[in-house]
Amino acid sequence: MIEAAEDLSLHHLTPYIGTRIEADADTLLSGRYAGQLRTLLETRGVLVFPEVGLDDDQQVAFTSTLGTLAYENNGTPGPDGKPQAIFKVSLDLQVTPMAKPLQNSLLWHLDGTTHDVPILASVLTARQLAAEGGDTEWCSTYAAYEALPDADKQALEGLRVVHSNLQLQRNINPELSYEAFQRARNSPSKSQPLVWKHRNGRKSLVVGATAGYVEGLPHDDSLDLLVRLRDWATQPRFVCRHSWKLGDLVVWDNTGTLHRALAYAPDSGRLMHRSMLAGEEPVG
Amino acid sequence: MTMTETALRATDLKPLIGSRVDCDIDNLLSGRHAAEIRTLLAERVVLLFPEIGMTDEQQIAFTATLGTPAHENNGTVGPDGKPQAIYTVDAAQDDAHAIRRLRNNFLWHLDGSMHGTPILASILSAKRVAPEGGETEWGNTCAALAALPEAEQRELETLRAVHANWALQRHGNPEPSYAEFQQSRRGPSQSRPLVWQQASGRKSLVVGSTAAYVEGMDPLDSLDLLVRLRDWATQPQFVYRHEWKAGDMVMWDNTATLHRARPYELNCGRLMHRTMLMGEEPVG
Repeated sequence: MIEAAEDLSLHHLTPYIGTRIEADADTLLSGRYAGQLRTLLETRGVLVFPEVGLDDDQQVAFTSTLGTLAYENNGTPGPDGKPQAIFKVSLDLQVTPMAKPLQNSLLWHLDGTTHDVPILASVLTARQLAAEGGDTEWCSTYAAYEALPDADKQALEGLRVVHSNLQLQRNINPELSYEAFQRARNSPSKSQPLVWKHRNGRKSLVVGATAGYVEGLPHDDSLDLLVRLRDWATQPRFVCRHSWKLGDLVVWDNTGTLHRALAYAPDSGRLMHRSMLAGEEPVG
Repeated sequence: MTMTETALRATDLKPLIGSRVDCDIDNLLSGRHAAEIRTLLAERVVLLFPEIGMTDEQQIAFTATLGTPAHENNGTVGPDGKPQAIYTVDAAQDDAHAIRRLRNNFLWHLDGSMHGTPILASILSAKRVAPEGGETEWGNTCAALAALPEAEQRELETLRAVHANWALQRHGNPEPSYAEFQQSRRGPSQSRPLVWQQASGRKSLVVGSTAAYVEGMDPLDSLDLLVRLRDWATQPQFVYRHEWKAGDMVMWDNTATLHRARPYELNCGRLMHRTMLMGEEPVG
């Protein structure tokens, strides 16, 4: 399906999620379509701008047209003494000390579930590609929630899930030392509603790799529910998958999606530059 | 000195765990040292018979001198239609299920914690060793418990943990499909006392990779306790680590140890032959 909306040429990638937009750097940087892009972001979840090839400054400028730029690590200065607007996503320890924790990027998740206000959106530019693997997938947690049977929707009302860095640590290493466990237990953790009632009136599921347990449920029933809902939300009809080309730019709504990278070799060279939009509402 | 008067020569491997036993095959098969070996096993929990080079038939016969041989998988049959007396732990695996099973051995565990009565002992012969990795480690869970403060021991004696297949499977795959999870949840599960008070008066800690949760405890406190006790029991002073030579045979008391294999490559050639002794008392 192709629609002409002013100058933007749109191509919906799947019924529920993902739209490809042909636009050049100048058009994006002008901010002329920022309002339309924000609407599309909410309704389509994932916006793909093929081979637009923004450099870091352009990417930051484009991100700023869409909302409030968020800095990495809450604005902690980087090596140059300034807050870092661009984060390098790589599984290579030579590139980032975060390579090990980023193994969790291969598991379905949304960002910022241990914060009061998760980021609104992420913006990713492909700088170097893996020869094999490294596609990214997103699923619409809006569509997944809306497609649940009514009985399920009622049963989920009021349930809360504890999301934690501890859970991420356990995903990578099921046999933590007690010292590492204690460190992880004392790191960020937050109880969030299982169903996010957004200000736009829609509801989405908040599950994924950071979800430790459902409050008040027996251990096995808790895990059962978390696995079932993640599996439900990531079934093919709610998922779009992107095979990266150099210079591709993708923006996604972090509040209505889960995402993951598909496996690639840590030494594949794959490198993504990420910028972010600050969240505008708590999970409520 | 006649053969019947020959005593076993046993040398401590570590102060709190492990003895090396020097005795020839004929003497071991004769059964005349069986009672002595059982006593030594209970005291030292790991017995090494260095480079003894038993055949399968000899290993089966030796096992039978010490108690009631157990067949693998609770009596499932081998390709020849008979219950298997020898179980092979073979690094040459190509299907996902077998690979996962092999890798489960890389986490600290005792055998049969999810089934009725855990086996009394395992006997493992190295047929071929891994060029790298593949060592086996045992932790003495009686010594580890005894080293805890008295008050804590009394406290632990009041607690029970559920050992479940779904918890074990989760370690191997943090992101199972719901179908996989449901299958693992239908698998074995047992509630066990955290402290095994044995008929002999010995007490051991029952923890490890199958331990899903402590009954009646908050999820985080439960995990905290399980991680702390596993970490405690596997401290160097309680652990014997064996670097295998071809022909080595090691016997261990499954009711008083945790064990794990150190990682090795698939298809590296490592091949172990195992026999087992049936358990003689439930975890109580």
